Amino acid sequence: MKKLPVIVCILLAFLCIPACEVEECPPNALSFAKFQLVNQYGQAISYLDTLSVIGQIKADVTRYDTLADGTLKEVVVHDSLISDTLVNRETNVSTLSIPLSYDDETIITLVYNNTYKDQFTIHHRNIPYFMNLDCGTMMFYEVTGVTADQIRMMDSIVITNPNIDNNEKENFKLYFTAATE
Amino acid sequence: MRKRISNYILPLLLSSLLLVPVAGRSQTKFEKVTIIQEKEKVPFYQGTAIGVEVAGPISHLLGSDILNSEVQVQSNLKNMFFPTVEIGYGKTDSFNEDTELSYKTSAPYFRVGLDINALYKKPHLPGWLLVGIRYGFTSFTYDVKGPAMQDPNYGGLVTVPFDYPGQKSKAGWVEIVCGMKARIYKGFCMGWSVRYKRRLSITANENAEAWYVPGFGKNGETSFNFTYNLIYNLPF
Repeated sequence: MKKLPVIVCILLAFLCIPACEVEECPPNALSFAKFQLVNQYGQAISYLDTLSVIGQIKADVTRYDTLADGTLKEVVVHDSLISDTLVNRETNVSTLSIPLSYDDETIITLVYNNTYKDQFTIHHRNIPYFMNLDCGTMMFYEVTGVTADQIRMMDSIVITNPNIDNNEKENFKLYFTAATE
Repeated sequence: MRKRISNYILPLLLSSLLLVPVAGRSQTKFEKVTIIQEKEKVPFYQGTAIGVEVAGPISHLLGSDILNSEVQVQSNLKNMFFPTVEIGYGKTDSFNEDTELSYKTSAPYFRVGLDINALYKKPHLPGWLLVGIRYGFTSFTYDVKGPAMQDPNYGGLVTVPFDYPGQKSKAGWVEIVCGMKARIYKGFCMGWSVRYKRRLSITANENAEAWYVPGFGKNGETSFNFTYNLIYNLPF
């Protein structure tokens, strides 16, 4: 009983060390959808040729037309297709980390060797997220579905984890038929 | 006649030699009895004190965004055990100029626990050295607001507003307390304590984590703080 206060004080001093540490912001404040390329047996494979990924959204865009008298006319073009090259001609690709849009769906086009294309749409629910007053906000996602638009090379796509956040973990498996050696 | 005298002297000397330790033993016994009697005199209930925490309000007056104010009620049992109840109010309305995010909450919090006086064998001292433990809990709502989020890709055309008022949460934590309390004048005392806090549970929300938890401090696995109390010993 005599030693109890001494033990508690030592314990307190020992436990205080982590408490005094300053909490830092996460190093990766952006969240990416992570794709794993696999063969028909579910084994990881690499695409050796060049692979590009283009992301697209449909948005209303304001266009300014110059009229004959020199004045500007504002024209809103509904459902304009906005493209962003997310991966540009990478080789030996086995995984892809793709940022989704802040819209409720993102169209992804995989361009193989600058020739063949696979296009699918990821439907997602956006989750704006606040963690810390000092670290800003982040956007997380919950994948609600995937629809195939134009498939040439890929066999199928499987959602392995619908929750996309700043923890790097696999979200999709892209299945291909690969010749076995 | 000489023989008779020697017959008396020898037993007298022997008996006197024997009496010395006998007398010593009887004295020791007497002291032991006295100690036992003193222990029995320690009353079980030795009063109740009420304290007001002042470090939190002073820190707020000096410019802190956070205001913590609490009242402590502590009973003294046998000058050794101090069961304690603490009721407080935590408030913050913080804004970060860099991220332009604001966080607002205000709620009461409660703590129950027990302190042990390390100096319980020295009741003549004008103070107490206390170590103890608390369980704290709170139920609160918070508002988080920030600038609209602009998509960093896809041309930056889509923006999402960021405003989440009325996020409800509950939190529970345990504290290890180490502090001192000293008599100042008549029934008035003052005391300080340092507290190591470990979060046990918190209700998470989908869009916003609690940044500040009333009574616990800035949200994290652990927290650490200092309290300074002005205390009055109640006359009952």
